[in-house]
Amino acid sequence: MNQALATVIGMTIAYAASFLGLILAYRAWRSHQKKNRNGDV
Amino acid sequence: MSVTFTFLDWLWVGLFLLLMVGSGILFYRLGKRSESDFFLAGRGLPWWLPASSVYATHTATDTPMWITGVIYKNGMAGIWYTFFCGWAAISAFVSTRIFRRSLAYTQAEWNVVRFTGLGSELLRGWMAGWQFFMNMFVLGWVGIAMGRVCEYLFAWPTWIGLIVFSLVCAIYVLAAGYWGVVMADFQQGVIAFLVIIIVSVWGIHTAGGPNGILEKLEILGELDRINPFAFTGWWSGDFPIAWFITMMLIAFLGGFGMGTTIDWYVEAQRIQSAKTVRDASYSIWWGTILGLVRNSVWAVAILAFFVLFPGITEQSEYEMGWFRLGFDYLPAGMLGFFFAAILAIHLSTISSHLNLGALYATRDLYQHYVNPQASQKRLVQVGRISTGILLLGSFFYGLIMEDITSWLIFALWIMAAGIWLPNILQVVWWRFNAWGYLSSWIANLGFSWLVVWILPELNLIPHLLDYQQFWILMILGAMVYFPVTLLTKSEPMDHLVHYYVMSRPIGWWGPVRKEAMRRGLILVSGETTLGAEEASRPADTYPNTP
Amino acid sequence: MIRRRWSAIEADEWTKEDWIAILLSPLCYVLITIGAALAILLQVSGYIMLAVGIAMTVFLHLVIDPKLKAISNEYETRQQDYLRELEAKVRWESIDQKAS
Repeated sequence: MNQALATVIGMTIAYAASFLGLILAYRAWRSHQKKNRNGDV
Repeated sequence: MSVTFTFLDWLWVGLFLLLMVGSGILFYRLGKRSESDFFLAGRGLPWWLPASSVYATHTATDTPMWITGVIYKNGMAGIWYTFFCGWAAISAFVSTRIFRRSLAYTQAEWNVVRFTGLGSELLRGWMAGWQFFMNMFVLGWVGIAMGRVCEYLFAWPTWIGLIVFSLVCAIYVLAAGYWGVVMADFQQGVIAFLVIIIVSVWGIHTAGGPNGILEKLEILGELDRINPFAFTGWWSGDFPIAWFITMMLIAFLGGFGMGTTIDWYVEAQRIQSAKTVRDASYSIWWGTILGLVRNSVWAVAILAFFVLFPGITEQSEYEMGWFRLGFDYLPAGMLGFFFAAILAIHLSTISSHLNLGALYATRDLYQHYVNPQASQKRLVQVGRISTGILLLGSFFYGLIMEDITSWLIFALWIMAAGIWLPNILQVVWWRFNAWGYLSSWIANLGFSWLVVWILPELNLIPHLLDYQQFWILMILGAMVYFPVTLLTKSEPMDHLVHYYVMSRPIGWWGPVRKEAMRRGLILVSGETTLGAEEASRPADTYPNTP
Repeated sequence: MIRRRWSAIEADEWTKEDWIAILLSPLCYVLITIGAALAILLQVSGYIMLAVGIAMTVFLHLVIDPKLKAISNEYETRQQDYLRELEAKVRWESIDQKAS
């Protein structure tokens, strides 16, 4: 495989993994905050 | 070259692999007890076990190639490159202590101990995802290095060396988790250290001993190669003083922070597996010095190789120098022993990264974000599944990495340059907050890509030297995270006080310390000792400001 | 000169003993590494650097070890509470409790 292409694919996976973690964190945070707000009501 | 193994050689290799897999089976019961056992050996290890793991993990298959490369090229001055692990000198007595007191399983988890709120959670998720990738990437590059060694020795296709030995390693990591890793690391560390000494001494002896090396260097007009301070000038050449100073600053001052080099993330697991704060400190200090002494022995052996084979210009050829000392000169029957030691070096690194990547996937991503109520049995299962995914991913990465060096430099830059200072600030400055830290990470990924690859390719900037890249990335990053930090709120004082009482960080924590003292949570010498219950209260139960 | 006894409160503070360790530790690393390499090459400078590095390492540990022991002893009394708190945090209990 072309080295430049390999680098782009490899780093894209790196970014995707990081953003996936970030999105997971956001979803979990939002759901627990929602639970918190409903509990308060 | 192609090496021919006798029966005795294969016997050494077979026995060694049996020992490693056997240790996994032996600790299977301990490893499966809980998440804490599978990933931290129950937090009960004496300092010398994680120390041997620190040493063994950072002796990878590509380490002798890399060290051979820098010493062959720069002479003894090249040994300074190996001081990238020097952060451990200060860290052992500063950030290791602080991190151990946080009890966080991972550096990602540490973010929610140090910071709070949405920012801290986003950081945790981001870092966990990044570390899952990073461990897969490290596994790929170490794996392909093993593939190349096997190709060099036996003329096997590279994928065989990459896949076969990683699979063997996975058996004991899957079975016993960190228990298997650390127990195998101890054996591998001992075997690797002994063989490194034996092969190096053998090589030095072959070159005529220390005096023979010096005489031959003099004849070659290369006596300056034994001078560790033989730089190529202040600013230019292969190894300028400016680069030396940059490296030493990055290395040693990095010990005040956490995550200033990629090695920190591996060490963080070892720190938390130590049974006390003292054990954690010594494990980092002694594990690292052992690696540095190993580098000293290697450096002299490479000088021996240089006088035996001077004038090699191909990097890929001289990088194999230390391996050649072993395979060209060791007597028959010892070759298998040498290869078993290379396997020890390889497996210790592979096993550590398999378990570490799985830790981030299990503790941070699965348990915290997907299934917080998961049972211990389920968490160990997820740990094993994650280990399997990492293994498969590493094969993919290994096979697409044709040029290891450029990847390595880029990955290290991403980790080191733009976030070096934020990694220190998060430890030493109370006002640094989650948003500032998160912005530094994201900005650095963009800037490093631009500065290292894109802008030079488009001829918008010249190809910069390493130290120039470092300082530019640091300045560019600071232009993002300082404004972000100062324009967003500081972490809540209740949370900071709680963190301060627990971790007792070094640096600029004046307002937090003052508040902790005002609340009676920190006492100065002479006052009544603080009750354990009081000091460990959750942050939201603190007495509030009247 | 070397302080052997530390109270829990004193050990938790950053004191001159910590700074001695912080300053000496990198020097120990450099002296031992460079000293060992040059000593193998039979250089007098190598022997001297290695000997100074080892002596410094011994001194460093003599200075910091009593303090590290005191910190460890003090911290262990609180560790279980902090661990419980960490487990509650990973399960979002501190946030969810507010809801209930």
